[in-house]
Formats: sequence, C-alpha cells, structure tokens
Amino acid sequence: MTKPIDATDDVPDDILLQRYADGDPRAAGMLTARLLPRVLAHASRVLGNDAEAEDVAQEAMMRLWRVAPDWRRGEAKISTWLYRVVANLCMDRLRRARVVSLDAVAEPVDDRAGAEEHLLSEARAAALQGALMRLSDRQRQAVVLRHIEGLGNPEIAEIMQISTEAVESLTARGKRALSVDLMAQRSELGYSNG
Amino acid sequence: MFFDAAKRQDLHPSAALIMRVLADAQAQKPRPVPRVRGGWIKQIFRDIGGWPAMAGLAMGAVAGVWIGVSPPEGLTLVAQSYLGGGGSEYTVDIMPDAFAELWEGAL
Repeated sequence: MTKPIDATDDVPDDILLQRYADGDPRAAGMLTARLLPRVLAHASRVLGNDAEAEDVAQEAMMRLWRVAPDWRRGEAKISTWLYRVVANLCMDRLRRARVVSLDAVAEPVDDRAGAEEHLLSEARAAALQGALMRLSDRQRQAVVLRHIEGLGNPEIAEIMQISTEAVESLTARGKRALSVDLMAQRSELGYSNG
Repeated sequence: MFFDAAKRQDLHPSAALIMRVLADAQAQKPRPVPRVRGGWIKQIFRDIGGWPAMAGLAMGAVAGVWIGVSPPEGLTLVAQSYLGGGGSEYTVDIMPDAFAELWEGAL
C-alpha cells in the first residue's frame, strides 16, 4: 500500500531523485508534488500562456526523470537545475514562435461570484502579467524569479547563466519599466498612491 | 503590491497535468541495477558457479574419501608402483661408502 503524495516531507530533493532512480514509486509522486507547481508557475509567468506553460512544465519534469540515474548528489541544487531547464525551454519557445497573446493575459477574468478582494487581487495579478509580457524576455525572467519566486540574485545568475551584476541590472530595469507601465492602472486597481 | 497579488495567484497544476507527469515518470523509470550483497565468501561462491558447482565439488570430495578408505584392488597395485612399493631393485648406489666416510670424517 502506498502513502498519498505528500510535498511536505522533509527528505531533500536529491535523495528523492536517488530513490526514484532506485525504483521507489513514491519518490516520483513526492518530487512532482514539490516541484511541478513551481515549474508550472514560472513557465506560466514567463510565457503568459497556460497551455504552453503546461507543455514546458511537463517537458522539464521529463528531463528530470531522464537525468535521475546520472544525477550526482551535492553537485547542484535540483530546483536550480530545473528552473534553468524551464528558463531555456521558455526562451526557445518565445524565440521560435512569438505567439504569446497579450490580450489573453491583460484582461482580468474571473467568473467566481463574490469576494471583491479576491477579484481585485486577480485583476492586479493579471495587470502585472500583462505588464510583464511587455518586458524583454530576459527582464521578465529575472523579475519573475526575483520578485515572485523570491530567489536570490546568485541563484538567478546560476539559472540564467549570467553574472550577479547582470541579474541586478535586469531586475532593476525590469522593475522600473513595470512601475511606469502599471502607473496608469494603479487607481482603478485599488492603489491610492506611491 | 502587484507582486503580492501575483504570489497569491492560483497557478497550481491541474490533475490532468499531474497524471501526465507521473505517467512520464513511470515510463522513464530506470531499471534497478542488481546490487551484490554479502561478503567475499559469497562473491567466491558466485564466481565458481554457485550451487551446481558446489554439488560437483561435494561429489568429488566424497569420492576421494571413499577411495582413500576402501581403495579398489587395481588402484592399490598402480599406487604401489608409483609410490615405491617393491621398487628397491631399481635403486643404483653409485657411491656406496660415501655416507660412511662422511660420517667418520665428521667425527
């Protein structure tokens, strides 16, 4: 009998990956529960398209399963490695197609009744996503990793394979551009000033 | 503020995506490499061929003991011819007094 999928277990990611490589069926479920939401959220914010983000998230996880037997413990952080894979997959898609529809993310859509605060929050998130999509790909990636995923600059530098100074520059310029972009919508989204 | 709203956003994977990812994990599951357990005695046991080889060795050992305890008559004659039984007529002493001289000299 197998235990239900549980992301709260404190077993480190690399140990779980080792267990998966050794044939433990629970390990894949735990890694999926722990890593897939982060992978999907990042892809979704960078691509601005849920269907594309799901494809990227699935592909990134597939690469994790494939690398499992050769993963050398302690060499790299699995989440950092996975973010890098997602970042590269997103960049490939953005370069290849440029099919992101800004209309799809600019309008706040919510069919749930009530909860005005929830609607406002969704509207703000949608407005931010619209503004993010107007940044350059690299700026968007850096801003999302820094200000939404909450990663530190050295880890972002590792993910994006650039220097820490370059990350600082990208996030600073990106944030400035977002402020200018969102300024006009501040009052209608419930922000009074500053 | 806008970032806080984005962090609260519900971006959880759908059940369908989770199922696809788990199916991939199952399909990509590495075949476990059998690990050698036990110490060097078990390793030698495996190297010489395991139980089939051990059966042959045991049979050989039993046969050896049996031949030692109750040797067949023909084998006794052959063994005597090899091991010196009745072989004195073939001994040639080329210096019959050498040992006696050496003995006396030593005294």
